[in-house]
Amino acid sequence: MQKFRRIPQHAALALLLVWPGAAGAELQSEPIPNVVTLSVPYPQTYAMVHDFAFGSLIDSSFSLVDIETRRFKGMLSAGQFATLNHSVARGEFYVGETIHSRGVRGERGDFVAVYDFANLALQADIELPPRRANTVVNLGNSAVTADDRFLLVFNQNPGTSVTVIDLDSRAVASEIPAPGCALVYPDEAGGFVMLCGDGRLLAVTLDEAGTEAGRWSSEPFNDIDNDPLSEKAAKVGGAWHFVSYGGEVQPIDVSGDTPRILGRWWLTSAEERAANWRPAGWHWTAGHDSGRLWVGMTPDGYEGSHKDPAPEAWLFDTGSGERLARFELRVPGLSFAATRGEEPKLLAVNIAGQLDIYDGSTGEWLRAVGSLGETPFMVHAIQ
Amino acid sequence: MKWLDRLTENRTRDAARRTSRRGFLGVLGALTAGAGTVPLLPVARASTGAVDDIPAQHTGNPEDPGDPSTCEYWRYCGIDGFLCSCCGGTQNACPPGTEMSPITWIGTCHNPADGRNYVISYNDCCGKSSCGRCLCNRNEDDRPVYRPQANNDINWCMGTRSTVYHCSTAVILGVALEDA
Repeated sequence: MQKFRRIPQHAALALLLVWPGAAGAELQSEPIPNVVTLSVPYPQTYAMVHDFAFGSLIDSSFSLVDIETRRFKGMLSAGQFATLNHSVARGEFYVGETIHSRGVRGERGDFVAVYDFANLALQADIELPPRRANTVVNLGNSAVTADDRFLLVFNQNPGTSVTVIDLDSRAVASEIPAPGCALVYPDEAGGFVMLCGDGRLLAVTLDEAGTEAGRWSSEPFNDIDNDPLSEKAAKVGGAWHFVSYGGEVQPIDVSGDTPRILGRWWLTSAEERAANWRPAGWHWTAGHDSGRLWVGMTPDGYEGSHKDPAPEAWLFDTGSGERLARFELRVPGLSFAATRGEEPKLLAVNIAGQLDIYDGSTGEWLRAVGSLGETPFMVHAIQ
Repeated sequence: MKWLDRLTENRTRDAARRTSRRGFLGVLGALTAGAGTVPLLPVARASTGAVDDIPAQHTGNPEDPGDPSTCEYWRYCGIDGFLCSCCGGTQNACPPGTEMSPITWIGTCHNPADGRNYVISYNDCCGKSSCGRCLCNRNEDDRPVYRPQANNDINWCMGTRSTVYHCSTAVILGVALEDA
């Protein structure tokens, strides 16, 4: 060391610059600007986590992550009370948002911003009537129809209606009044159903232009006062599965011309209900076309516990109503989603703001992704 | 709700932890990111010199008992949001410069002092960004969004100049009628 220090500084610098093989090949100059492009189609391991940003609602976001590698792939920025939908066939995300022209003040603008999968870059800004529902994260606030033709946006101001957006022309096709009814759940034929405040179901069919072709209303079947069906539902095969606050499952078959309100079944045994086991979480259900349904559960149920975190997730076979497994969650969960494919993963946004990934059959915890914003509330499997 | 505290606290703590490597701008970013939860966070308290807790309040009326800056206050049985009592307003008044929503959801809460049930109107205050203090979520008698008058997930900043949500109040409308 002493010897080295005696080498004059400029000589040492020259030595470093010409020393053959000291640091391998010379690094090449790099291009500016330089922006990453994502490979499309996406693998079946991508998920979007919605940061509701409770502390600054006008600046929410969606983080795209790879649940296999735990890599953060990119982000969509959004305004307040945002929604996210996507179409794999079109390779597009649709972000519903409400923005004022001067931040917290100025003219209200409601939009659906269209982003492409490859670049997460804005493709179109579709202006909506300024009445899209502004609620805490709710999957039922918007939906893409089963034929990937239209995007449905639920309006509540406080009168209720649905804006239909033509995804080919990226323009508003119609606005369908729906007094007393709320949220949108796509059926399998390109229409949708809504839940109504009088306990009925409303079904709406659309024509080729995206205008109303017909509607049908059920008899009341939902006891909202005593044990309401949560709107946080999951589609399993051709049926939406709604779960009541008390834990009764109400399947609604939307595969035919007219919805069918199917027979109910309980998540819990009489003993478990007596012990206060109830569904819980934010979006407490996840479904898979194989017939599987996961539901977040809490052993500490009471009137008002329906938004509490879920320390467990229970797995059911919707065909038989049989419980297949109980998963003890690593950290209590808020919102759930399931990946598709032969070996689905259960995704859970937990109360520490992380995304937990579990084996969907055994409940084995596989890994987690963290640092996903201020208040992550929801996860979407992108496939 | 303790879990909501935990969620926001964790986010802030993560941000604060990272900032030690990032210098002044990072600290500024962390404080901005964690502004909503600074009172909950020991790290942030130490760095800002802030006091421990939200100062206690009382209504001055023994018939209206409890601390309106706490989630346990009797009127908040169905509330969801930042308590205006912690944001420059009170349990029944909006903070300066905000606008009270004319329509909202209602709940029925039991007053332990007089044993009566009261109809409470949870009017939101609008036109400034999230207050970020005293987040409180209680869901007694809360019903899904399709029963909007009994749902606390809806942003009730409707009919106001701005739809931007700031905080929530709990205004007494009157004594609830007993069930027949």
